Amino acid sequence: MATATGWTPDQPMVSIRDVHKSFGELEVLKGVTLDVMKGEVVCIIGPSGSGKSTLIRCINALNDIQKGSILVEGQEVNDPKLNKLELRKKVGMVFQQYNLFPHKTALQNVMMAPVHVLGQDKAEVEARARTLIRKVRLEGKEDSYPGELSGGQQQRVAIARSLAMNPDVMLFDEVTAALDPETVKEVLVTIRELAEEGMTCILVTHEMGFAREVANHIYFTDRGIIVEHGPPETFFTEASDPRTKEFLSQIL
Amino acid sequence: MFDLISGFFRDLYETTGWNFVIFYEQYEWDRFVDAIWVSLYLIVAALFFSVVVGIIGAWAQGSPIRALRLLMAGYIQFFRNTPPYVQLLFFFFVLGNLTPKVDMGGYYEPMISSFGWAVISLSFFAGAFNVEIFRAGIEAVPHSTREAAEALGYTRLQAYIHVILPLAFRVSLPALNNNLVNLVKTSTQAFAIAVPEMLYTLAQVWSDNSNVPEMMIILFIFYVGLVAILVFGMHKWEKNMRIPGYG
Amino acid sequence: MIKTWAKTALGVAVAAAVGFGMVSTAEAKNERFMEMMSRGKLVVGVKADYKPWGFRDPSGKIVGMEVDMAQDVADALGVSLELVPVQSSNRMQFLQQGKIDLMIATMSDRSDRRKLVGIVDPNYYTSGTNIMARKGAVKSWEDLRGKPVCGKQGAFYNKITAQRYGVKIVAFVGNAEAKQALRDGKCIAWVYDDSSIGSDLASGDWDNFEMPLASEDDNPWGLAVPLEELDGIWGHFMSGMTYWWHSSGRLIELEKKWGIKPTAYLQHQADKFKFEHGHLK
Repeated sequence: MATATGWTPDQPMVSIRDVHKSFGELEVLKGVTLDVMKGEVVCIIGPSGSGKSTLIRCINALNDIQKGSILVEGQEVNDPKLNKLELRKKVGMVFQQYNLFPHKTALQNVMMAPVHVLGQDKAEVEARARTLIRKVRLEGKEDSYPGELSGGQQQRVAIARSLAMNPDVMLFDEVTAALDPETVKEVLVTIRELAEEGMTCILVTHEMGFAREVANHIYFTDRGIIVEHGPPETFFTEASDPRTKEFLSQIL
Repeated sequence: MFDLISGFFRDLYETTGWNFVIFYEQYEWDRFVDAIWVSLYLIVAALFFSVVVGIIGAWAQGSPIRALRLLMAGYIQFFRNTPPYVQLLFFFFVLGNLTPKVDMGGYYEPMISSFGWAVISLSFFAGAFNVEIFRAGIEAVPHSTREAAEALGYTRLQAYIHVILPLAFRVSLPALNNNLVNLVKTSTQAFAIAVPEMLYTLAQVWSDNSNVPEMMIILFIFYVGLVAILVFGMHKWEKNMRIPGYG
Repeated sequence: MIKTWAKTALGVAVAAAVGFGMVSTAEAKNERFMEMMSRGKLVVGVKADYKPWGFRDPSGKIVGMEVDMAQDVADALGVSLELVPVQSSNRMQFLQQGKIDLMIATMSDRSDRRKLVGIVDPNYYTSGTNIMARKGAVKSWEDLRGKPVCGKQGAFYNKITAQRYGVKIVAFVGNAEAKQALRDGKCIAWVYDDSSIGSDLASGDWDNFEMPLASEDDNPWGLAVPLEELDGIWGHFMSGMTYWWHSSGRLIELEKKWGIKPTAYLQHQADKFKFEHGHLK
């Protein structure tokens, strides 16, 4: 299967090359390079302010970059003539603060984008949305407003909302950081199921146990660069860089 | 209706001198009823279009196009800082002469009537305030909500229509309420360009019949009633729009 | 000529004041009249912006039909004349405050005004309702049916013309706006007082317009002396003066001189008082 950009599934789905990003004087990314293959689950860990959230926000062009290249299925993100809709159809994103639309019910939140943005048939979208809500184990909450749901429930609606667009890759930006400990698990379960189904996932997370269990590959960032990376089985035990060691010793 | 009340009010005049001529003389009754409709049409149209102007204006104010933002700023300054009365005269006498008209032999049938100019002028006047009101509402919508819409592929306009505006609207309702009440009251200034609304009509009635106090009372009752209906409707709307578990 | 009739008129006025005034009204006073005669100067309030009744000529001098009338009065009394320009809004106050002895200032005779100033009978002029329209646009009142006609808010002509001829009255706050609307073609005509329309037409700013119809509804004008002297010498003198203006044809003559459209009222009054004039002579 080759797309219009000539991308084939044996090439990296997301290919990041020497990405530099500054906010004014402050350089947040100082040349980051990484690849994510189709079906891979990649976790990015690192201390706060190391640029990991910025990095995944660059993948769907919520932040622009000053230098380097980001290819998503062969489409160049760092392009002034970027077709944002094409990019965002491929890339779903879930935020730390869920960011649901508070004036719409859970079901409506899931249905909105496919109807408004993709112009899909409402009845067909509704059927799919109900399936997705069941999938994130929220049956019965279809008509609840976000304000009536717990944080974990809201976050699962947000995941369903993102999935409704049928993305090829999902970005998770510290999606459990704002949750109560009891509800963290239910969200992680949902993500793990997604990963097991073969969804390509890029997660920024502090949940080391989860990362170790789910990820195919772990990247450790500090001060705008990738210090060290590897598969979880070796990463957590054989980290060589002192910065990684220090971070892991604090967090594990 | 007229037949039902005319007897009573004629008696009232003959026995007490209270001259509610609009309720017992056919000619004045007809004028009064016309005035009710003209006032209502004028107010409803101006309310509607002022909200439309506010919505479009608030969107244009956040536009990435500099010229559009400057245009909006100019518009708001002009309409907020000049009296609506002067705006009406300006629209009618200056702009009214620049619009196409049909020669009817001795006079011209304008494309835009004085009623039309009153609607335009009042809509732009109240609209200027609505732009500011909606902008404040939009600024109250968290940036992250906008970002979520953006990440789902919404364009700026789609996000504005489906996400930002509905939220901003709820925040804006109390201020909007005030401004629209003001608009109802300002609509009486259309008498300056001879729109036969309630003030215009009753002023003519009291000139013809020397019954100023009685007609003043009618005028007050009419506007108190209109404002009460508007406020009631707005509150009901505000209630219906309240989101469970939000704000 | 004025001298001869003036003596008669003054004689009649004094006789009337002495004969009837003293007994009929106790309040009748003659102070203003006496003071005026002793200072040898008559001060008359006239319009200075109402062509051709009272307006400024190119040299700035106030002239016009009512100014000529004021001059007639001064000549009859054998005193000099001083003109004071007045406005509609202050003309009665000027008279009440003693700033002027006499007011001839295009004032309509109304009962509420008779309580404030001494309006002299008979009326010296009447105006009527008429219209100003583009030349050739209107031939009869009936031509106006169903068409927009501009007017001033509150004017009593509005209802009358609306009811009588079925016109659509478009009334503005002031005459300036109403006339602008006429000029802009927003209405076929402007309905107002014929003297005011005549004044506008005479101003030269309305060359393409005319007053094509016969005036309707007489609206009498009154000149006034201070209220407390209405039944004194001053009021009676002005009353006699007005009779003479009518009966001698002097007002018709002045009307012609100033290019005012001849009114049926003046002709009618001249005919009516002819006998009395002859009798007085």
